[in-house]
Amino acid sequence: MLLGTFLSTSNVTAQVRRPVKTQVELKQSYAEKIEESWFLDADWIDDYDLARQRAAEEKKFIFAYFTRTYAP
Amino acid sequence: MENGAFSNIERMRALGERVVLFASIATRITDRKHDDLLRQINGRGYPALTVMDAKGEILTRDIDRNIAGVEKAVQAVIAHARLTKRIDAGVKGLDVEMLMVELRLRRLSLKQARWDFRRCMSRLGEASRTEADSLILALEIEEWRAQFGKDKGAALNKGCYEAFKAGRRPILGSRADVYLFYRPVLAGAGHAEDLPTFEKAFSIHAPRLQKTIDAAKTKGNTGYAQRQLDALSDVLTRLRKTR
Repeated sequence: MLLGTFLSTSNVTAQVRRPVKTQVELKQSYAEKIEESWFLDADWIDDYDLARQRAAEEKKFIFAYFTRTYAP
Repeated sequence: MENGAFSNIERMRALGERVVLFASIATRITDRKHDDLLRQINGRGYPALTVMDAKGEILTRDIDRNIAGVEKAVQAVIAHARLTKRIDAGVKGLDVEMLMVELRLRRLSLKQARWDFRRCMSRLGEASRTEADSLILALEIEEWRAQFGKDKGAALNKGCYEAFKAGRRPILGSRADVYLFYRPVLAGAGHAEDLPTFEKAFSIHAPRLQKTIDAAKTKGNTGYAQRQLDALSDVLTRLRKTR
């Protein structure tokens, strides 16, 4: 009975756990993110080196927003 | 978050005229450069906002998660840079301006902020004094919150309750105001069996909870705010009965 409880619990855990995304899926998520209107319609850059270079050239500060594509 | 805070494209474009808009998008794509930048700069978790200089030095990281909070932080960073330049050039008498800017950027420790505030108090106008006090209250809230692990929120509840009774308020719409202040005020007032203070704070906090509940109804998820409102209503009923 204990074994049965363990197996059923494991099964539930396995169903609840999110599947690990493949590299192809991760690239797809990123491609979708940078197509969103908040990113496209304002002048966002997602390259850190380029952002710093532009800030140095234009004598500006950088406003940085940190987000991720692999979780909500 | 971006679809809320950054959805006003006109304001974002205007902001983009003053600063470089940089989105650090973590992807977990193998070998992608700077993919884990937030960890590299010791960030606390997603989503996060900072203002940094061209060398990558963080100038402020505690920014309210709305467009007004971002605009304020950017304005404060620019003002700070200008003031620093003037002070370096030998201009005197800028300490009041510098205090306000450093408070807005949350660059001061609580101890330093209190010290500078007392030193500059007589030279602050009424509006600046109120703003400075609100910003110092936000620092105090952070300090009380830091004790949470030790005292289960006792210092936070007591501190916020006493601040509220003294007429102090965090800046309207700030993170401290929306998320961190009224719940402990109500907990402190409930614990002290202080009905007038509880009623006063409840009359401010309950409509906001109701707004959250109404907004969440469309998503079918009203649980947390509804539970909080129900619990607070129960305390209010109990306090009224025992009066």
